[in-house]
Amino acid sequence: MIILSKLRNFIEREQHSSYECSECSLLCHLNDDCMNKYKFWFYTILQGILIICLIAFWIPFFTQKSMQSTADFSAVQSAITSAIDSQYYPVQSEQRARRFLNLDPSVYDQIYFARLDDTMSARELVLVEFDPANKDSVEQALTARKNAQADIYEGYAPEQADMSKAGAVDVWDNYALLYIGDSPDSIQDLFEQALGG
Amino acid sequence: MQFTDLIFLFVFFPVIWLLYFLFQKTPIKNLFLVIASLAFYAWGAVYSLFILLFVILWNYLSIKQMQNFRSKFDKKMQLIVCVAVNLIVLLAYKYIPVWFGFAFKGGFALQMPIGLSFYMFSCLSAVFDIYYKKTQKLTGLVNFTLFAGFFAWVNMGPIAHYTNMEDQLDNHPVTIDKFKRGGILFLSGIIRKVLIADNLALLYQALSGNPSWLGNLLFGFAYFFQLYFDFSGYSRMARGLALFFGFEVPENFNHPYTALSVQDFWRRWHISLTSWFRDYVYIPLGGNRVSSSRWMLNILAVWLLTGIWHGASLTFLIWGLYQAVLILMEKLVYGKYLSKAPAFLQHTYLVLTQLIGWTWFSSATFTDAFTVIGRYFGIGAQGFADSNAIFYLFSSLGLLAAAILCSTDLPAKISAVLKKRFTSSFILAQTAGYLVLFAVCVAFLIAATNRTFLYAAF
Repeated sequence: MIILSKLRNFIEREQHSSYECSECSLLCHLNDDCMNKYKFWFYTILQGILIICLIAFWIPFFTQKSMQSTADFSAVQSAITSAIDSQYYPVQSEQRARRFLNLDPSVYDQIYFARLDDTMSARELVLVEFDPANKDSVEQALTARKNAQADIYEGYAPEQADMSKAGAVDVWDNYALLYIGDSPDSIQDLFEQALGG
Repeated sequence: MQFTDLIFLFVFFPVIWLLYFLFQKTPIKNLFLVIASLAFYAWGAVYSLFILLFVILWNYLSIKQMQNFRSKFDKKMQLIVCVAVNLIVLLAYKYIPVWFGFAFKGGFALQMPIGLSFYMFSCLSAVFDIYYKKTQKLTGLVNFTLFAGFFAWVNMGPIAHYTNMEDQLDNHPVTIDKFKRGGILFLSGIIRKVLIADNLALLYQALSGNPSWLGNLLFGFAYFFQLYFDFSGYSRMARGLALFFGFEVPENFNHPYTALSVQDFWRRWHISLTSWFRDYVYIPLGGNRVSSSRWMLNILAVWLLTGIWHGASLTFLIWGLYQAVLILMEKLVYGKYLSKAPAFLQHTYLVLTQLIGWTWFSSATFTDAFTVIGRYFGIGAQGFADSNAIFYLFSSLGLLAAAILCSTDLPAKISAVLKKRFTSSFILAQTAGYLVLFAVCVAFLIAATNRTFLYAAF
């Protein structure tokens, strides 16, 4: 009640202190002649349209599902490694992840990098868990790696180049996968199931 | 797109600048710059363009509506509605995901558009300037869009003040002098960013979590200087780019680390933001022409808002309050003693207080901040130095020396003396020097070792 009364006092005070127009005095804000009413409605309608557009723009963002997973890294890793032939995907060191993928292991929460030392094989698997703020840099690094591998093998190992091109890059807000090998679609499905779980 | 992208440096900017001279009349030139700026902003993040356009149109229509009203009451109501909608947009992108993200079951999918806080504050400066009758001129939607969204300042400021820019929007001729100054500012900015800030970032990253006193101190100073060179480098580039198109933008940094008190520091650091809060928050609240208790509240309110402007996390809030407390203490407790102390003591005080401040600013959590700050004073530090700290100290000596030197106005003074003594050969040597350093920067950029600007996060 006190707040309402103060609000009413404020409005009344503001109304009585608003004598700017020379054409009228006391009830300036109530008099249509004091302002161009066509302009008033024109601007009001445009402002209303803008607000409606903003709400319409926001609705899909509020309703779409987040791409952030709470899944444990080791669970995601084992879900994928159990579905691939481990002899083609031996684990590599963090230094190699830095060298080959241009990803600094100290910046990201977890990195799993597996590939053969055989330079004639394009097969590789990369799993990264990261802070959502680093999503763009991870996506760029993995996409660049996939494209670079395809370019390298293009000249002398076309089947490896095709495998690289068909490879899967799947980037969530805090997880990413790069898989080059057999059945990339099924590995990608497994990855998404593991994250969803 | 950012200023250090190769596509910006070698395609976007040169093409836009050359095409700009095809147009003769300022309104057409402005329209061309608006189209180019919208393309620049939309590059890689088209969804952000909607928010930029919304903020510009909303504030423009609010100003027109405000100008249409005659009564103070109606104008005030329009101002309140206008500011409220701006705040709702800012809250939705910057604060709700952090404060209330847990309440959204599927997660919070809104992604903060780059530069939102900067261009929104520029728009609000126009709204306040019209409301407080600092000006009544609003020349048109194209000029207003250019004022808020020009590619030189849309991403990270400097935050434009409408009354400083309104005349320039109607007339901004490009002169040889502006071209020269723009070139020097842009080149010195990119050198600061790529050669100093980005290398300091590597040092900061390498010493993260170092438990020794020396390693921890180097870690703190790496961020201390990185933030300055990153943001001041960006600001110089922005001012340089604006000069290429004839706009004079006031400086955003004035050697802040040479200040001798925290008050002086904040007159020199991110000047466009501190002057925004001074003009549109502190002074309307009464400034210092009120009772001392009210004045203290005003200072606290301004710094709380400055902290929140930088981010939604508690560490930013603490950082803002910390600055407010330092300023109040200087004014009320030890300011008079500090001003009589030897300059080196005043400077040590400034560096130490800001080192602690930036530690709050850069820390993700309270625990991180307290751990690092404690180690500055030996609390929790494991020994004086470890091999890692000593290695990075010696390998970064040149970088740290360059950072300290370039934080002062000594390079500018030296170049002024040299210019006076060897006018023609100095200009030649300066141009050659800048071009060589620019080539080195490009080499770093091609090697993709550059990093995103730190203030892009705000």
